[in-house]
Amino acid sequence: MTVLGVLRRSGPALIGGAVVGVWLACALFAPLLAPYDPLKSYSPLISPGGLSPDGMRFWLGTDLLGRDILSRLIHGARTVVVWAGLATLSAYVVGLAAGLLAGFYRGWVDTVLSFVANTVLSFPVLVLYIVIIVSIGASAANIVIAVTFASAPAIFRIVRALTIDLRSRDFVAAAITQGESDWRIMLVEILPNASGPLVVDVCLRLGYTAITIGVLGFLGLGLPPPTPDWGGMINDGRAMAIAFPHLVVFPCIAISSLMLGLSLLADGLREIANAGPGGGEG
Amino acid sequence: MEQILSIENLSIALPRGADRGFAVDGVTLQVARGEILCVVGESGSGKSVLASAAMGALAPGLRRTGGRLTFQGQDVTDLPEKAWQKIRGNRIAMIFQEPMAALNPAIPVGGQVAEVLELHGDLDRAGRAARVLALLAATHLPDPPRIAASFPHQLSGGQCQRVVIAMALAMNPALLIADEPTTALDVTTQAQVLRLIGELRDNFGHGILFITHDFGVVAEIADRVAVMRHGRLVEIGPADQVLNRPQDPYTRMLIDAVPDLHRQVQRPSRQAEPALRIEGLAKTYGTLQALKPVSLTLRRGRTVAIVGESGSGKSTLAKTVIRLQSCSAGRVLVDGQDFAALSGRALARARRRIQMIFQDPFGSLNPRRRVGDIVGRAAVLAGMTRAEARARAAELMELVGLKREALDRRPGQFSGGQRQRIGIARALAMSPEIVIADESVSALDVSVQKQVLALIDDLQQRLGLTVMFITHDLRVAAQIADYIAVMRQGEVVEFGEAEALLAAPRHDYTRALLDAAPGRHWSPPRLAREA
Amino acid sequence: MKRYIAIKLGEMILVMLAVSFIVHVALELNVGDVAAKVLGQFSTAAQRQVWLKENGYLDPFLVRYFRWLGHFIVGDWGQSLRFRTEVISLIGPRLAATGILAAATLLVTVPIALLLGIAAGVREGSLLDRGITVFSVLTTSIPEFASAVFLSAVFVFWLGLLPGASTMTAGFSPAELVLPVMVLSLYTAGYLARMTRSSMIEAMASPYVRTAMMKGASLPRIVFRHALRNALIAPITVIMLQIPWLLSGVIVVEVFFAYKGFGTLLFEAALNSDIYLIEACAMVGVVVVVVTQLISDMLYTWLNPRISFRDVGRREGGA
Repeated sequence: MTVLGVLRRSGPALIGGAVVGVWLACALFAPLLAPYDPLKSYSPLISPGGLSPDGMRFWLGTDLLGRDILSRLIHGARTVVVWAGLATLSAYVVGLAAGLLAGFYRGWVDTVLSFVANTVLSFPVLVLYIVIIVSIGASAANIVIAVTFASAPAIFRIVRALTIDLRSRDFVAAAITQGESDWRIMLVEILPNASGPLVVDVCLRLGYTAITIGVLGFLGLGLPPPTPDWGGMINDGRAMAIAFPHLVVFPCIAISSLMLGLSLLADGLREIANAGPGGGEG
Repeated sequence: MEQILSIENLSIALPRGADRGFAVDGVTLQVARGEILCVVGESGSGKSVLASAAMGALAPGLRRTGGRLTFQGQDVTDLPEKAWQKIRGNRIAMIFQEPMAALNPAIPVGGQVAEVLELHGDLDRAGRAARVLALLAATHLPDPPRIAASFPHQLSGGQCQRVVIAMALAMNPALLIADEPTTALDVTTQAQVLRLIGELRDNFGHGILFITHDFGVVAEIADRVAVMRHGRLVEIGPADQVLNRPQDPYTRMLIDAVPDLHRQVQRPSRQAEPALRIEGLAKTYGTLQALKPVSLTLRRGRTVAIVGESGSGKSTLAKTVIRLQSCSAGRVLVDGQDFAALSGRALARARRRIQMIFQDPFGSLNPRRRVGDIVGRAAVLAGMTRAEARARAAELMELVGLKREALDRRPGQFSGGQRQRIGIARALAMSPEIVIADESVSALDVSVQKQVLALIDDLQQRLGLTVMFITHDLRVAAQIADYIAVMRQGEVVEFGEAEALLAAPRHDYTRALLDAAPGRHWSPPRLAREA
Repeated sequence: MKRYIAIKLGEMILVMLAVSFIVHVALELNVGDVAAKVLGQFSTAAQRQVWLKENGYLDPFLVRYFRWLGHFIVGDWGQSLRFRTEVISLIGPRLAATGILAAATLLVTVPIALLLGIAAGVREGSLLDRGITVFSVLTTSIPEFASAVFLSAVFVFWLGLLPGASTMTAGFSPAELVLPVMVLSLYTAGYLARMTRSSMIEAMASPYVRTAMMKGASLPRIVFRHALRNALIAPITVIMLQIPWLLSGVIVVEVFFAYKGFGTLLFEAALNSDIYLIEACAMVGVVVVVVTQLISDMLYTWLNPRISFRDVGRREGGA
């Protein structure tokens, strides 16, 4: 079953997939797609579609330092895709492992892990990010660490709930009566059956992480300049936004469209999973 | 006789993409005043759709394509929704399958009964309250004022069903439609509800359209019987005739599949050495004693049926014996070894000796794995190579009556009966000595149930298995067991050879269970053998 | 009920201890910076060292933690390094300002979202339903800072209707509150409408709604008398649980509009490693979270007669 074959079964999934696909392509082929060097200064504050004194056209205009906004958006896609991807992956590794263990064994393992998760979650997420980033410094790797710390508990809760549900199914009981080892039951019997809801969650969480990176950039805690980063672009242009809205509107559109694409994709996948045949269990 | 409801040549189309074109296909039948017409059929026969059609409330997606509906002489075929609202609950009322779910969890049940009076009658508030109490009393509910003030979750399933019936009776409707009203209830409660429905017919002369899949219930209550299959009416006639001298081949097949409570087959000698000895096995959850110390001996190559209502502890017993949950006290001896005391590797090794066949054919197979991997896994665990495991899996498929090709498919592609066969193959793959079947046929249609019971019986004879069969259904127990243990509230109240126990129960509770079994006086004729 | 609240309060204290400890550990990583921030970047290393010693920063970590804890419990929340004043006197007015923002947001959001959600859920698949679904997907996909930008562009830049900042320097001004509330409401309304919609769809498909229909009840009666109360259990519980989430959005919105609330306070404290202020804000945050959870549970019990308080304690903390 091809990816396209699955997506075709739901309108939202197809549209969302297309939007996400466009940004993925930007990330992959940024140097080929970007019309200009994202770091080079041409002529400051050209309006969208305007020409520079030496006759170059800038479709989305240039920023305060004269850099091409379109090129910076395209290269910024690479930053977002790479770091949001890595951060989500890392949060998933932690959340998945802890969720499986807690949901499978319950008892004190569950009590301890759940307490840790609830502690982290009873903290406004953004505060957590800010505290972490401020104390360990703003860098890409630290953003990954911060995201892992703050989103792993949410993933943990989802995985735990799914595991508790699947743990009570008869096919797990059958595996137990066959004398299968615990880790095999978790990985072969439980995890694949949890994958449906988890794939949906991955889509959404990638979006949230992209937004988080954007928010941190917006607050001036993102990737150090001059890395092209959507959130950072908004932060840089904010002071001039009233006079030159194009400085901030385009990066905002970029990040919103990515999130929109991912939520449509998530919605579509959920719809496809609920509609049944082909996706395994009916 | 006065016809209340008359359905003529009714057809209802299924949405495109369904496995057949029509949910109901050219059905004609009548319900008269003071009679119970049972519509019986297996799952997917269209019997429930027929019931909704008679209420003028088809589910979205369904569409009437032909036929006429006449109610008390009035053509209601194309009645607008507003007019149906005046009929529903007033002149036609319905009783549902899941009584607890059918009641609004957020409103006291008295208010829910009163709502019918509010919608259709002209009583004032006080009048309605008095009438609600009278209705609750008429359905033999104890302490009506207390019941009226209760929320559904504070009542038992049987009490909820009585409330639903009271609601249906509120406006004294001409026609009652009962859609599997006792399926979700325990057998003793079922007997009381059936008796109540019988009273309604006798005392008030309601016409009753009774949808069911259970021939025992049909035998208990029906005046006339209509048999449906794939949306078509295959046979209709007086109960005695349809039950004892059915004409249609499908009806004959169905009735032949119904297990007989009075078994005539004699089993070979019952003496055999013990294969499993349960000694003082107990399980407590906090302060709740789910299993009081139970002792039981299973003899090699014999079947013990554990019979009981919900909450009797029969499933707890099964799960505790097979170590899906730990026991609080007691021993489970297999060949002198205490299975309940093993742990770690020794437990993993010993587990193959006791295997389980589960209740729900849709939940007991991992939907993500191929049947070949599920069934072949036991061989891999025993140290065989992949090729050997596959050959073994193919062998097992044939043993349970499935084709070898099934190995490459996933569970989702099989029917319930086939899945149950795969579940049996998986259990047998471990070469167990003891098999526990936990309600293994209760989710199956009666014709499939018969095949699976026959398969279990046959495998037992061939492989010399010891079987512990958990069931709520006395007919099934009578069919398959050499011994029967009756459980109630975590205790075995009676244990004995199946025939003796069924013919002459000693314990009051066993007697009550037997008395409650629907259609206990009816022995399904064995038509296949005559033919 | 009393027992349940006692358990919750115990939990809260445990979480507060854990959170305060985590914050201390996190800030421990750059203790050196604190002196630099306080004394300015031109101070010498020796000056900083002296300052750190005088202010007890060179004592062992655990000693400092427990000293802080001891003071905190007796109500001495310390001095803010950035604002050079008592932490406790800073928090009150800021919390009130944010409270106004949050209350206005809920006041706008809740009625709109519930109405939209119910309208969409009653007739699943209708044009109205699809419109509302698109609206909610859109609003929940646009992060707060982006909608702040978009709305400012429209109302400040093009239409010139509203002020672009909400500093409230000339006293309380309702006009300055409009944009922040709009931004916060947009996201929350979308989320809540979606939740209400799916809850309503579920209720409309339930057996008891079918029962009501078979009684001869009309559609409005079915919706308002039977479906609504059960359908509102989830969204109302969620409104309360959304409050900690709202707090994250509040920070962004307050910073964007330069609104002097709890969010900006926390943000500035964090930027300046103002440890006592961060700790105090964090503790207040935890109290807000746990209290909203408590209220959410009580609402849940009140709306849902099936659940008693004993069960609430055991309710799974699933997502």
